[in-house]
Amino acid sequence: MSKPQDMIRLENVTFAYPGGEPVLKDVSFCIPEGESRVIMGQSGSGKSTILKLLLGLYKPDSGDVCIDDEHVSDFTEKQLSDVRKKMGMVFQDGALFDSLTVGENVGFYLIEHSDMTIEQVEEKVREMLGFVRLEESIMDRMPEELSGGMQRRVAIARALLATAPKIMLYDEPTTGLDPESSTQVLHLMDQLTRERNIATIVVTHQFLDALAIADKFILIDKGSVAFDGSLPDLQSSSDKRVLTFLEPFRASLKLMERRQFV
Amino acid sequence: MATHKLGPMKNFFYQTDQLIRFSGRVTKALFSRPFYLTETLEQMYLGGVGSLWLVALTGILAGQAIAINFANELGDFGAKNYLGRIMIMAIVRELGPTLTGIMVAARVASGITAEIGSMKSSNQIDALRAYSIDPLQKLAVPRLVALLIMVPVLTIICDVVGLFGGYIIAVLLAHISGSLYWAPVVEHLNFGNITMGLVKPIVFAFIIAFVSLWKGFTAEGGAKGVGAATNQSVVITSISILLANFVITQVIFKLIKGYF
Ligand SMILES: Nc1ncnc2c1ncn2[C@@H]1O[C@H](COP(=O)(O)OP(=O)(O)OP(=O)(O)O)[C@@H](O)[C@H]1O
Ligand SMILES: [Mg+2]
Repeated sequence: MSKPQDMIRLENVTFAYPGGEPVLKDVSFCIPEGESRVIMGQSGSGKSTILKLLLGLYKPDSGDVCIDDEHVSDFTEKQLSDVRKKMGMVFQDGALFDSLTVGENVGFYLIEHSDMTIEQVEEKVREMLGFVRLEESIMDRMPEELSGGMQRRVAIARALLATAPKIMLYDEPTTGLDPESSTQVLHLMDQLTRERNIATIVVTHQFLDALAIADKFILIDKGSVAFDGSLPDLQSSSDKRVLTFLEPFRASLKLMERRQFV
Repeated sequence: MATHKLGPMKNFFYQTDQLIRFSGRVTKALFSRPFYLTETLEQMYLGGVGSLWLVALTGILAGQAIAINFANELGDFGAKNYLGRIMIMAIVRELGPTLTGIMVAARVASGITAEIGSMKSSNQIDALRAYSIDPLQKLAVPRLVALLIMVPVLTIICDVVGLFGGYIIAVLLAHISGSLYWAPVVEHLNFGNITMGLVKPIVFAFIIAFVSLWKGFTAEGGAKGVGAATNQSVVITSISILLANFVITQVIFKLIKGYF
């Protein structure tokens, strides 16, 4: 089961927030290097928690989390900061630092951890804003002045400028966005995955957006893995939890299939 | 969370235990590097300068109120020249520290809990950690240090203004000469009174910082949860300040009784 080339591996992970009930129960899955996955599930099923465990923000109560064949579960904060350089995280709702300007947000990692001058950081920030197709002029604005879609793109820029990651973790990148902003963000994610060859893990409950991102899915139900596999398997699954989750999307899925055959 | 299922007594001990552990971690962070100077200065400015007028106003009003009361009473005994002595005891030992503490609790503690709590609920705290920044060093320590400097300074300002308020009453209403008012004030500015007057604000600063930060860092449940945490933060700090005030007064009298 534990293949050495797995980029990410969770083995029998159980986790509860301090003083709470278990949020994840015996969760196992692996993602080979360069592959992408969509993690789906109802609200509160523990999707965001999985990403936080991958980043080492929390430690599992039992089980093992491996990133690039390193057992991060028993890493110190210092060792973790090296592992985190391989990962870019786009938090739910962006999690931009609201006391800092857009520019300071995007350049945050470099300002804190590098010896670059302000001018050098600004240069990098400008470049990165261009990459996520935002105007340089928003650098001096505060995050709350931006639209939801712009905030997500700033958050992606911040994650990219941090560390040139090998894996990008996106938590609900399109939730709450209008279709156009949603498409822009999905495009950007797609471009990163293809052009920069960055493995992508996306958490979402927007099933249709999920289809645009990856072709393999993990379904989390009340803290356990209910499904792990490809789209055809997902559609033909007779697992009750899968059926319940897919129910609202049946109609749109049928429509898409029909179009493919025309 | 699950702690709600504990009885109220057990829950109290559980929360106290959590607060003490948290305070220990903040104290440890206080002595670790890096130290964020810019953030600390910013917090000193926001909390200190922002509270200045509030504390000054409180001080002068309280000073005048006490002076009016005692000037009348002492006048009945022909002992008006004791006013200064009573003022320094009342203000430097008791009212200056507690009033300042409670004003800062209302203004700064609520602000800290609300700010940290909203950062927590919008994942900004996790984001800091994801970028290898220790939130306790970046957010908690600057606020603690700022309070440790600002609460004593504000207390001294409150004391001075309060004594000055007493002076105005002494001269205008009680018809005591300025020198008769100030002489005992200066005379009783002794080691005992100064120690009492400065130990208190330092302890209060720790209380305000630890409680408000802890409530912020453990806030849960979105805007509503942050609101509740902010309320609790003000209530807990205010009551703890009054409680601590009582204990410190007792302890200091026991320890250095001969110096008053
Ligand atoms: N910091 C925390 N402390 C305590 N409990 C938490 C914390 N964060 C999340 N939880 C709880 O853990 C459970 C799973 O939360 P999680 O955020 O992982 O769900 P999710 O699948 O991402 O949901 P959503 O789709 O709404 O984002 C929820 O019941 C939530 O209340
Ligand atoms: Mg989530």
